[in-house]
Order: sequence, then C-alpha cells, then structure tokens
Amino acid sequence: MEADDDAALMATFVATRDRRVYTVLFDRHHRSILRHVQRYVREPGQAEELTQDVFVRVYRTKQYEPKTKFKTWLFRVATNVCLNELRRPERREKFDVIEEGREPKGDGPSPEGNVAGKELALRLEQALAKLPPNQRAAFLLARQDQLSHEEIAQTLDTTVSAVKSLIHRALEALRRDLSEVQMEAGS
Amino acid sequence: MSEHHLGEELLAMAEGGGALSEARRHELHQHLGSCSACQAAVAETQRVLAMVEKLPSLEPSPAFARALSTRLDQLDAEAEDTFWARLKAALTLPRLAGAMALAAAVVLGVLLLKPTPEPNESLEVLEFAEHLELYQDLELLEDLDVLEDLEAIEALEAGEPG
Repeated sequence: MEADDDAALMATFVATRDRRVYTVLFDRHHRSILRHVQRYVREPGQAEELTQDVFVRVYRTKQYEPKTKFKTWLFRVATNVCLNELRRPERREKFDVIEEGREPKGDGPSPEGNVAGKELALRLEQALAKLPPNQRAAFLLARQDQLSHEEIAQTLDTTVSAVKSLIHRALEALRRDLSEVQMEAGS
Repeated sequence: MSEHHLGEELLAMAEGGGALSEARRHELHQHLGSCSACQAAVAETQRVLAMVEKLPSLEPSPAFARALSTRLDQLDAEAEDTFWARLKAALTLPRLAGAMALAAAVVLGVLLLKPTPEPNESLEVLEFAEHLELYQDLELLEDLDVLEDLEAIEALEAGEPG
C-alpha cells in the first residue's frame, strides 16, 4: 500500500508543527472519523469527545513514517481510541445500548409517513448496535468508507481473511434481524 | 439456508459479482437460477446494503472544532510551561554554582594539560658558542677580572694573608 498526499502532509506537520497543515488534515478527515467513532460509541457527545481524543493524538504525534495511506493510519488510531474506551468497564454498558423506540436521525431511509420504512430503519440501527464492535466497524468501513479489505485489516489490526469473515457475519446478522422484522410485519 | 450455497460470496453476488472471476460469477449465476433460497438471500442482502447506504451519520456540532482547538491550545501552553519550568529548575543557585565550578575545573584542566613547547637546549648552546668571542670582547667581561682583583686588594687591606 502506498502513502498519499495526506501522509506527506502529516510528515510535514510532525517535522514543522505547523498548525495550518494540521488544520488541513483535520478538515479533510474529521467527519469520517466521527462517523467511525459513532460505530463504537453511539452517544453523540461521547462520540465527539472521542473524536477529539483521536485528533489530539494526531497532534501529539512525534514520530510518523508515511508508509501507509494516512486515512488507514488515522482510522487505526481512532479504532484504538474507541476500543480502549469500550474496555473501560464503567463505560461498556453505557455505549453499546441503543434506546428502544428511538427515532432514526436526519433524512435517513424512512420517507415521511412510511411506517414500515421507519421501522426497518430503526431495526437496522438496532441490529447494527447489537453487532460486536469489530464486526460493525469492518462492515461499515467497507460499506460507508469504501475501505478495501486490506485497509480494514490494517485498521483493525487483523488479517484480510478475518475481515472477510467479520463482514460476512455482520451481513448475515443484519439480514437475519431484518427478515424477522418483515416476518413480524407480515404476520 | 442460503449461506450454505454462497457463503462469503453472497455479498459479492449481491453487488453484481464484479469482485469474482468471470468463471465463478457464471457458475453462481447458474446456481441462482435454480435456487430460490439463494435468490432470496441475494435480494435481502441488496436491501440491507441499500438501507446501510442511506444511514444518517452524525454531523459534528458547531462547538466541536472550537473545543478541539481549545484543547490543542492548552497542550501548547502546557508544553511551553514545561519547557520554562525545566529551564527554571535547571537554573537554581546551587546548580548554577555547581555548573560554574565544573566549568572552571574544566578550563583549568585544559590549561594545565596543554603541552608546553620544550626549549631546544642544544640550539641555545650553539647560539651561545657562535657569539662566544663577542661576549669575551665585551668590556663588562673584562671588568669582571678587575672586580676579582679588587677583592684581593680588599683582602690585603684587611690584613689577611694573600
């Protein structure tokens, strides 16, 4: 895997501590990192706080070798921050629970007045929340961030075959959960 | 169950099979034509993927970037404070005196150990020999003989035996 322009920018930042260079990287990536963090931590305030932690780590980086894509490196930093947070016992219960009856946010998959669509969107969020963090992350990194299996393997510190397996199991679980919703709706 | 048929290739088929080799894609298409369970699985997977693509994502709050900037400012300030604190700690009076004593000892050591050029004695002797006649011709040297005579005269005057 080759380094990219952002990796070169990061190397420049580490060498010069030029905050303007850092800001360019932040502007380019903070949304995708926030989305990634949200896969582990669903509470918006907590997700923002952890995303800040990720960028603080980036800011404090003293040594950086641009061997891989910057995005892959950054996702890996974010994954480590999230997993460290989830390992804290007092946090574990708080984060992975999605509230029953919570409405999907924004202009999601549910058109106004489409009760079945709303129900499906809600169940999708719940089904995603039920997945183990690495399954959820592998699946969504592939689907939403279009990372390759190799990049996901680097991000999650695992093998490509393990990534394929994580994605497959995530998809099976989602399909199973959502087909149950349809069956319930049909009965 | 359909996963017994397609396994991890279910996702690839749900995406149109582009990630598979042509031969394998053809093989699975033929299977799908005769397996209603796998057809349903592919359709369900496509539906799930379509829903996932429409998932809303969290937008950062207006305060997000500002809060991060504040944290970075604090980090910079802490780093600067740490630098000055270290410098200040290093410049306390006993340490400063110790450092000066050490520096003085080093300078003294260097001066003492500095090799001094050996005077070249043989050259000096040769130089003296060269000018020996000149020295003998000097009136001063001749007067030295007179001084010796004066000592003898003084001894006579004092009544000492010569």
